[in-house]
Amino acid sequence: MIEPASRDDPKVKELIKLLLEWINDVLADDRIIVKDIEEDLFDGQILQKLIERLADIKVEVPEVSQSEMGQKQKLRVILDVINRILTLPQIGTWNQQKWSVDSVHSKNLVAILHLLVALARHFRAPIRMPENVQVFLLVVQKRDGMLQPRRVPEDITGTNEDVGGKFERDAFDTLFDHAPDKLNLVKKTLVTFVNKQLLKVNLEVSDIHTQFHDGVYLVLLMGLLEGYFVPLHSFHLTPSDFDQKVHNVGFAFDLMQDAGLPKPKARAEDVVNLDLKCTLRVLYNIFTKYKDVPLP
Amino acid sequence: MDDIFTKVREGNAFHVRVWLDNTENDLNQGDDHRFSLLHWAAKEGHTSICDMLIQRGARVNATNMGDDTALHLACSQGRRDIVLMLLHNKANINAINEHGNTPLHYACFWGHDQIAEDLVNNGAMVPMANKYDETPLDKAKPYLAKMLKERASIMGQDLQKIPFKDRSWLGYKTRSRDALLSRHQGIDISQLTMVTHMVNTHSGEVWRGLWQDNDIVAKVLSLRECTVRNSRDFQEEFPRLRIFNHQNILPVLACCNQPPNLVVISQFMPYGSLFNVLHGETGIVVDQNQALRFAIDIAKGMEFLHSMEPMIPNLLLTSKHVMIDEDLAKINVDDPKYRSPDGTIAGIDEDLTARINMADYKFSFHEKGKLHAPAWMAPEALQKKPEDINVRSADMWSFAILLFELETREVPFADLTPMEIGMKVALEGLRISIPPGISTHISKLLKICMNEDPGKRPRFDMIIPILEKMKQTS
Repeated sequence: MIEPASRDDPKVKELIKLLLEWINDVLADDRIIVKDIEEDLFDGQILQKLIERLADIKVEVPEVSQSEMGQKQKLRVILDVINRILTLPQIGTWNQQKWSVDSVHSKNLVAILHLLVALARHFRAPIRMPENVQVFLLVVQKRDGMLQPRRVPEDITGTNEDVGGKFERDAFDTLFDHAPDKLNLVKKTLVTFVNKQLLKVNLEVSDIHTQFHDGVYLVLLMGLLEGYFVPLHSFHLTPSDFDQKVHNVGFAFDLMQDAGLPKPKARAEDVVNLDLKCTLRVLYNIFTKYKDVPLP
Repeated sequence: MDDIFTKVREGNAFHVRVWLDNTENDLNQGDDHRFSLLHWAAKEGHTSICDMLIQRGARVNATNMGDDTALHLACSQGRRDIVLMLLHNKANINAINEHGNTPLHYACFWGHDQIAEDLVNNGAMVPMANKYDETPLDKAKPYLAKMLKERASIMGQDLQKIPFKDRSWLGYKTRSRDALLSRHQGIDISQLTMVTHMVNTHSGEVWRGLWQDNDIVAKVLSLRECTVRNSRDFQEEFPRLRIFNHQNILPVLACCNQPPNLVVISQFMPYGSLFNVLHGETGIVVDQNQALRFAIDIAKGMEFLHSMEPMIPNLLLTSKHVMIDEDLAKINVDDPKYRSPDGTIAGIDEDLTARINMADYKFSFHEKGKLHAPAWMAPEALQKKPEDINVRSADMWSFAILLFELETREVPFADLTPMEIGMKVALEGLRISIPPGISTHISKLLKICMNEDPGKRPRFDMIIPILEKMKQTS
């Protein structure tokens, strides 16, 4: 049982909010709106739609079922599908599972959170989940004939470091893991390179981590390097929300591909979410192509 | 639609006008014997249709298969008002047909005394001999011959017989266009013969080649990938670029829509773009008068484009999008004015026209979010979507930059990169500076056309008379 105080933990609340937004984004085309993470997911109906959208598959189960038996039956099929996708053991095996048919169906918040976080990680949801979210469980054990409550911590999310681990490791992973001191050198080289261009339009960058996340400088940089002007109506010069920033970064990615650069491995959302490694990868990509281009 | 040639011969002026208003109709096309519409109108004596055709840019000196010009036909049929109209519009008065006959030969032979007199008064050479060594005077009745001879000597003509010289091999004749050209919309890429690779630009690969014996330029659009949707949009957009009915518009002849290749085909222009003529090393001298003529040509072309409903979007007016063409209608190969001692044509610079190149249209899916020539664009066009501004006013700004270029021969903001120009013009108020040496009329006009308030800029129909007046007084 979850300790009531954990529900009010700001980190937990934020995580729930982000997950809800993500689910609603994914299901927007189905015209489904999820309001409550516990009340709306337990019967498997939404989970089915979610996994169908995410994995682009069709799960053959009855549409709606009212009886508990039917719901559980359906949930089992869906969770099996999910576990197969996540390459986890079959549901109901002896292995310790973070979620099960019974726990999800009984609206167990911890189980549902584990499930959603695992899905979000696997499908690289464009959200930046708070790190190290922890909840406390109240475990009541009967010891010496007495009921003894115990507080047990349960980790919901770890650090975000492993998020990018889905693609092949590259020089940047090595750099981050083994030579953090060299990182500053790389940053400095990139800043010098970028400023050489941006100074032409009276702009200057000092912090590579934060100043590229809205995409504006990326767009301008491409125009400067490739010799064109980008009309100000095709991007947001002063983006005010997440979507506008994602649009900018995505647009910059398009310009990069037009210029013959490889498709960035990072997603626009990663850059907007201030993922340093992704930002560096993107800039390094540009640097590699243009470092020898003389200034006109 | 019924055959337009029949309508012209019948003199159906209303029908001809409607036909001319259709942008896809090429008024310089020829029939099976390469008679142009003007030939027929002149032959049948439909003065108003002739006038209409000339106003719309019909080539006055186009020839049919027998090398007759419209003037030959008008003279033999005795259409005096048309003869005068043609002469007034720089018809070649001494043009010779395949028999070596000039218009004067025909006027004399058919006994159109008045016309023969007009011709001589306007410089027709009395002693020109045809293939059979006969001069016009040999064809005329004695009294007419006598009269013309006297007139010619008063005009200062040397009455020594000029022997026939076959010049057809020179290739200066401008036959009426192959009517097939404007009939083809989409063609198969295999029908094109790409001869030389000319240049790679940001917008595509440009090849020079041949299509049905026509010298053409083919631009293969640069696309990262060509989607079904691109191909569909291409198909929808390009037909509007086939504008054959205005002399200052260079139409797209045809297109190949064969993903991954989208190809735009237009006529080859040996002089290249206005940018090239002004700033490149072409050796073409553009004097003040020619510069004004170019300005008028461009203004007329723009006026026409602005009169279209709906307008063609995404046409950016820059000196790179204006092509320079020989004004074939005005070149008089046999006119002594153009003959240099070594027999080549001199002074051709005098007769160049500017034509807005429809092949430089920016397709809606092409090069999205990139402007390579912001120097020519109005500040509001750099900032806002075309649907949120007055495009006509923005074009007027571009025209002002062109005018500046024609006057100063300078590339606008030559020392800055496009991104710098765009940012500075849009956000920091950077403007071209009008040098002091420039004429007061032009500098006044520049200021009006570049009014910071788009609503206060004039329209093209308002500035054409101003430019015309400047040309007359200069």
